[in-house]
Amino acid sequence: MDDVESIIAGHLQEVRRGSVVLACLSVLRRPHYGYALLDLLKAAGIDVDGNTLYPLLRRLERQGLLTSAWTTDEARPRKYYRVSPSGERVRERLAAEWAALDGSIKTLLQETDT
Amino acid sequence: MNDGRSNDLIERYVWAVVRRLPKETGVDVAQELRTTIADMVEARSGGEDAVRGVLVELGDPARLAAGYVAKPRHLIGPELYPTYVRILTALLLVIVPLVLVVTLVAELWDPVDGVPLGVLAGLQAAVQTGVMVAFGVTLVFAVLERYGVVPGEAGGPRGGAWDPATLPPVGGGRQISIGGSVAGIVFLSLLLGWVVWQRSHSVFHVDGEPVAFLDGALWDLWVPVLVVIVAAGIAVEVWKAVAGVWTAALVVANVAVNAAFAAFFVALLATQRVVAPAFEAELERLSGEQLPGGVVGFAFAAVVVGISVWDSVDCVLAWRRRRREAALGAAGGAPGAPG
Repeated sequence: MDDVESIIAGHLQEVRRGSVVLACLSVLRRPHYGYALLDLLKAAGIDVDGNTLYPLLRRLERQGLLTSAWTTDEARPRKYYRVSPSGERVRERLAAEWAALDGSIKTLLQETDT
Repeated sequence: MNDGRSNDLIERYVWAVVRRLPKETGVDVAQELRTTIADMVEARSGGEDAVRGVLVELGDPARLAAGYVAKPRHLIGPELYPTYVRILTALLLVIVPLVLVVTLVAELWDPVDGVPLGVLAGLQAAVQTGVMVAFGVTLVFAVLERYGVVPGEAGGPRGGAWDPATLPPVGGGRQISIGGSVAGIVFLSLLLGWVVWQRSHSVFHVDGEPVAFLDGALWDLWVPVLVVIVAAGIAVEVWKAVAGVWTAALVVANVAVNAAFAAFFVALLATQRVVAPAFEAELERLSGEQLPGGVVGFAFAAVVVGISVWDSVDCVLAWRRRRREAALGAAGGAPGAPG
């Protein structure tokens, strides 16, 4: 049913939303520019749209979790982002939370299966 | 991919995004967006179709820009929206037909310009009033939304620490009815509407020109002041309807507006000539009666002061009653039996 599909899509989006931040903070331990990051995330199986990712990078930069620098030695000027020290701390906390959630959900799923 | 039309399309897209952003971030975002689009087009092996595809993938520039801007982009949020719709519909349903009927009666009573034009003038007045009401209500709610004077569930400041003890009793939540506020807004709007309307409409005509009831000199200072007070009064009525209960800030605002009304009318009637001399002369000529200006003025001022004092005392008492009830509820702690 079309209805159920759109409901699922909405919930999937909710589940994925937080994961993109953690994925960015993980990949950006090495500096990357927006489009390269998008490619890396897609290759890793994190499906995120450009129109979500690019504004997100700006917000994380405003929050001080990312730093950025323009390079002009390539064919096009590129803005490289990388994780700041405070972004590093946030990534560790998020990763711990992610692991804890993963454990909890796994337990719940097993309990209901048996 | 470097041909002019593709570049033109990209530049138009970038501009459509950036013009919605604050200046300081705009240039930077524009440069990054250009590079990103170029990268994406290259990955699709170039060409005008590739550019089109990339722009479709990035989506509506307005939505992309909204992603870059953190602050909320709405005028009236979900918290206020239901009250906004209720008040707006109620006001439009009351005021617009009322204005229509009143202006039609006035126009057709003495159709100076003929019946069709009179009907047209009535319709025009009704539509104009509707637009003004809608604009005014929307403006007041947008201000309420921005400056967060709307209390939470039980009158506490929104976003502040919330205490369950302040929850209103079941079924007894509202102290102030929306109907009362709507009536108040209708009355204030009609007062303002009449002040404007009486300038160009009158029961008396001299040489085809209507004789205004109010003295023309009042427009220099007194009418503008009245407009401000009435606007404040309408804002307080909207606030009352949204809050539903008396809070300290609302009581202060309501008493202030009441005091302003009372002071205004007392000062006006004590120091100014209110009724235009031409109107008085015309009345005297046609009826042989002289307008007992002093007595009517005094009575009017007394009524305004009386209503202001009564309404102010009433709202203070209601506010204290609610505080006492909240305190009792907190002390008792037992759930009240419904019904």
